[in-house]
Amino acid sequence: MTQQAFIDEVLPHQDKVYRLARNYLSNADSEDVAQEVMIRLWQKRAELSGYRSVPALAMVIARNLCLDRIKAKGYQNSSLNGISEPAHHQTPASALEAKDDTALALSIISQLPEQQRIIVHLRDVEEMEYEEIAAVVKMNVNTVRVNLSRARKTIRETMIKNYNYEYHGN
Amino acid sequence: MNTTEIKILLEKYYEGRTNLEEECQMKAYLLSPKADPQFAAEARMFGHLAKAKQETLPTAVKEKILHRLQHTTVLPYYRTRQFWYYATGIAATLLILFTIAISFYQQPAGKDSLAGTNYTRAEAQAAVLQTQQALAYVGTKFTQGTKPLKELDKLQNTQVRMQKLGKLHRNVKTINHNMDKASESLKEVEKLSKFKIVVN
Repeated sequence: MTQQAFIDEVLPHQDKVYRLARNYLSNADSEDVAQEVMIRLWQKRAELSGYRSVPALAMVIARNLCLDRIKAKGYQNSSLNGISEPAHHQTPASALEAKDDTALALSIISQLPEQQRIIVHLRDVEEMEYEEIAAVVKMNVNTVRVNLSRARKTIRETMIKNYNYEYHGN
Repeated sequence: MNTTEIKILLEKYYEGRTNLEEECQMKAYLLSPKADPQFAAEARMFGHLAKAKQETLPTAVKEKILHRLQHTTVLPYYRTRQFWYYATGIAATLLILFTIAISFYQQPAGKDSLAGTNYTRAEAQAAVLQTQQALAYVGTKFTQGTKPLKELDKLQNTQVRMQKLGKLHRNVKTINHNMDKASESLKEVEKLSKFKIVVN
């Protein structure tokens, strides 16, 4: 793969990588991870044609790097089973106080278990296929669907609850 | 797209059974101004998701990545750390094998010496011969030293005889005892009878 082909075909995925990393890490660390992923893909450019989906590969590398950083640093407010609150997310309380829809949605999603949060992100934000998501989170497709369903229902229920609360409060 | 269709799609969506195309249609409807207010919660959620997708890597970081790509060259294999890791291992193994082979097959030229000593083979053989002679001398003396021990056998025989005499003595004592008892019995009989019993 030539440098130009890499810039045209692979580099556009750097934003996806960055957004995924933001689910785990702070802003600065996410930028580092995005750089690292792109450099690794560049070093592996001769093998990229052997992969079915380069974006999925980029996401796998990004997720592994994020988890490595969390382990290595004992990341603040984070754990491997459930990363409670990425740095850019507001707490539920502050989100409610601000009555900002986006902040509320962010806070709800940030409270989901790690796997569900990443699956929702990959599907509903990055619009990836179920098979690609399964490769990233190392699950089978059915498990991905089940987790996605649970996450979506949780988000809806929490949003409806908060919406009614705000409505009646006003 | 009417509300019934949206409801069906939403049901599938919450079950994780929609495809990307259906989700796209649904999102387009819910984010449009003509969306039914009963889907307000979903509209808010999809609004956030659409907003989240707009988050991009800062331009400065993108430029930094591009710069690194242009200045990052892929090293040939023989210059990678992995190559040196394997090469060092192989070299160390070969060195050990070579050292072992040398120690096995190396013979000193011109001198028939024993390994680990300064003696020649002839000197060692002479030492063995002297040792054998010394041991033979010790063996002879030992044999001579055991001759006086044979006198002890006589003592053993005497002891056996003494044991036999002891038995004889015990038997004599038993006879005497029996004789005493017999004489006492006779005295008792003599008291009871009118006649005197004479024992020869």
